[in-house]
Amino acid sequence: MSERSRQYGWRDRAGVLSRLLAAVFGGYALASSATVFLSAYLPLSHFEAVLTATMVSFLIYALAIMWAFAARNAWRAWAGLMAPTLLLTLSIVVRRWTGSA
Amino acid sequence: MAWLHTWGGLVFAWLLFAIFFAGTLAFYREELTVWMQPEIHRAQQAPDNGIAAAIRELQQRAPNAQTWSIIVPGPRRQVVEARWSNGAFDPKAVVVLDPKTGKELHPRETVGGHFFRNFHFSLMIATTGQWIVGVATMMMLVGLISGVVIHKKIFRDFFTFRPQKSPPRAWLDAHNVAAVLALPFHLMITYTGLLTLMYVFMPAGMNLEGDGFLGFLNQISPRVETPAAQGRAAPLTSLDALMSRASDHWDGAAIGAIQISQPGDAAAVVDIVRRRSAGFTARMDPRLRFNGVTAEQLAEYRQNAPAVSTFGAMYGLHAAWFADQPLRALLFTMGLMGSLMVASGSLMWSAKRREQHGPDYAATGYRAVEALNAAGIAGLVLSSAALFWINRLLPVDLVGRMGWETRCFFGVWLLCLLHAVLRGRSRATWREQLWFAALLLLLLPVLNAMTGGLPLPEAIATGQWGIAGVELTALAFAALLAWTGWKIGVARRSPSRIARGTTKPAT
Repeated sequence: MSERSRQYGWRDRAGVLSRLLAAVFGGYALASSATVFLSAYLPLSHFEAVLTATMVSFLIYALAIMWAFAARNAWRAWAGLMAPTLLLTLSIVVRRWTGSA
Repeated sequence: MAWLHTWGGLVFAWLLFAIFFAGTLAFYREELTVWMQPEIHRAQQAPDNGIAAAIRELQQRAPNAQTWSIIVPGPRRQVVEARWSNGAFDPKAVVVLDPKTGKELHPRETVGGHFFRNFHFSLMIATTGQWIVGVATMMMLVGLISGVVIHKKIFRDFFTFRPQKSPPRAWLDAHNVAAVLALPFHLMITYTGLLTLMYVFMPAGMNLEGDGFLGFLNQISPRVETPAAQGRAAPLTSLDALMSRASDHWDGAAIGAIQISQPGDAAAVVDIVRRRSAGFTARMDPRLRFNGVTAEQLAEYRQNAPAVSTFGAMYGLHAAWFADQPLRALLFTMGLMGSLMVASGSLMWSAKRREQHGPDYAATGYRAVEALNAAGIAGLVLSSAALFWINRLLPVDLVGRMGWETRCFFGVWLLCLLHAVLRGRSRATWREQLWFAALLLLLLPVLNAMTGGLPLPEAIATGQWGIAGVELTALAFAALLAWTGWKIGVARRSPSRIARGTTKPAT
């Protein structure tokens, strides 16, 4: 491990660290906002929507973590997680404002 | 980064082993609890399940209680348990009876098999522990899914050690066989495990309407109300008849519990609760409510929403609520294979480094890691075996007995760590701790017979397979651990290829 890791420069290391942060925190943000979104918009009774959304959230989180390491670079990893998170959060905020929640 | 990976991965392996191993034992938590209460070993079944005796005791002890509850004996626990309450839960308001003789039994206070369940999901450090377990579980889920998706690339790079270069090839084989054969089980148990604590890990949806987890729970469980007393006395209807009517209603399902509200009053109602093993449930088992005087059926409480049933099924799968004996045994075996996968993986970790560093190995810090490996894995097995001895050897009337059992368990584990550090040579540590665990388990039937439990031959002769099963499994474990300890000793004595310089260190 030690010989192999010497071939990597600080840029690679920073990239991996960035992806790791994207996976852990960005992924959780996406999973969490998707849970809220689905809880609000799934065409089911409220508690069923919450239950379904929460159960699905762990699969979303897992896929998000995989995305963070599969994306071509760290920037794409972040963008791919944060863009949907913002959209989902926005839809909830709008719903709150328009008072339909 | 390498530092993070190496040490993080290693700690992760100890954590996973603890979660896997304790969770596997927890599949038999009821049987283990019964074994740990020798006072109830000789309880005998009765045609009426001891219900009449329970009612008699309740009438004597708490004639004016608001509710009486009776836990009906089942195949896994054969005593009848009667509780009474006036609203608040009182752990002392309980009497345990032999269903046949109706005599009161005094089972000792014990953490029981539930210790392994609690340790398994909280490491006995409350919410902090639940988060640690949750992170490990999430990592495992990602590892499993990504392992399936990108099978032959990254995952293999990470987890393949070239067998021709690794002397202890057996560990690799064991690791792969245990991992691949049980893959569907691992996926199921990992995902459902996250769901059992989802209100801790993913509360966002439940907090959406500001009602949090408790409000959410109230929504998914039907409300069961206690009627107010009328103040007129009236005799209780026959519970036997109600039980068989409820059982017929559920296509012959077994009854788990009976709850009587306002007993002896004209307003009395009787709830018959279906046994949990009889089907998928979520948080609340289906119950039928009858008028306690006229025996008229009043209501059925159950939750049929698909999402709730799905959640119940997931939870039930994880905790093996519904499993009959063959399925439970299969889950147990799969859990053991998972434990073996982690244990052999961490042994490979050490073997690989031993090979890389060759003659310089002793100078590296990895020796210390090996000691911790031994304490983390062999030590946990040893302290688990010791818990059964602690359960029998601590005085029965010790105040705060459950706390002492837990403290002694961790005390033994700490001694294992101390032993590993003082011993230095990891193979010797492994061998000694595994052999000592084997000895404790081998003598478990003797300890049981000497401390008031049902002796093994008698348990087999009378078909008490819960108690006999615990001891037969202990004996099988003893053999397995002794063999593993012996194998580790043999591997050490055989001449090392590294020492002779015929194998190039892996890069």
